[in-house]
Amino acid sequence: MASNRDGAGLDEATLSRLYTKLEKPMFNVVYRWLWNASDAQEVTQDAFIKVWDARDRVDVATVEPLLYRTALNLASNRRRSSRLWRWVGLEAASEVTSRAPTSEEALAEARTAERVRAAIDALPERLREVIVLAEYADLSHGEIAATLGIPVGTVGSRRNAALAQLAEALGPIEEP
Amino acid sequence: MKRSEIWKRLEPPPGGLARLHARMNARPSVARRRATVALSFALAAAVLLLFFTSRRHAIDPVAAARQQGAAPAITLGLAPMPAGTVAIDGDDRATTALVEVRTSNPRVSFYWVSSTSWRD
Repeated sequence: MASNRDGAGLDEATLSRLYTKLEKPMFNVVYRWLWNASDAQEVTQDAFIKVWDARDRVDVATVEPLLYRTALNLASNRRRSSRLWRWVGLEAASEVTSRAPTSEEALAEARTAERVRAAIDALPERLREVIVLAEYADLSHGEIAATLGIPVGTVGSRRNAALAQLAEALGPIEEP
Repeated sequence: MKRSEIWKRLEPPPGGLARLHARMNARPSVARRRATVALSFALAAAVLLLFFTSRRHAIDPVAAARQQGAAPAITLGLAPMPAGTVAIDGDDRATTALVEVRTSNPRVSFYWVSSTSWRD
């Protein structure tokens, strides 16, 4: 996380540097909410734009948790509205289910991806945000606690609960 | 299942930083957006104000008929009920009031007719 506390507000160069650093992890986190690459990129950028709009009140030292928190909130809102539109039949299902694999290997990979998606999707939001921030953004328990505004101990217990629930759905998780 | 299969990292679509800058530059400035919001609120407040002031000055047919009454001693609603059928012709319009009295049945309404020109 950024620790270059200099008292200055956020400037455009710092924002660009932060985007370059956080784009991929943040995209991967948001993707596990929306399951659509272009939506995930748009929401990731929305978070940066929202923080940029509030740059006068933003402390550079704490901007990374703020960016993750903002992205998670925006992703949750988008997910809720997307589900509502899908329920009323005005939005197509997300891209994962619509792609047709061509070979046996690709088919197996697509099936695995679909199982993982279903298992992550089934997690309650409070568990999903902890496990996704830990595994896709490589945030420490302290950083996740700062991002979500919860005690470090709670991060640990929620992560364990999420892993247990995933193991129940996917079988034992092996090291590579 | 392997960890790498579960926590597989995806690459974001290319050109993200350029797109972010393009989106930031395409947006109106914060001051302009605040001005637009303030203007919208002012317009909405003006419309509401107009709505309520116009409602307050809506013409009350009973009061209007009372004001135009030729005989001030007779008050609408307290005037004696005419004994038979009353015909209202064009000359009575200025001194006659018609008030709809709704009933619990939406298809049935009574009309209360009173006029300052009626005499015993």
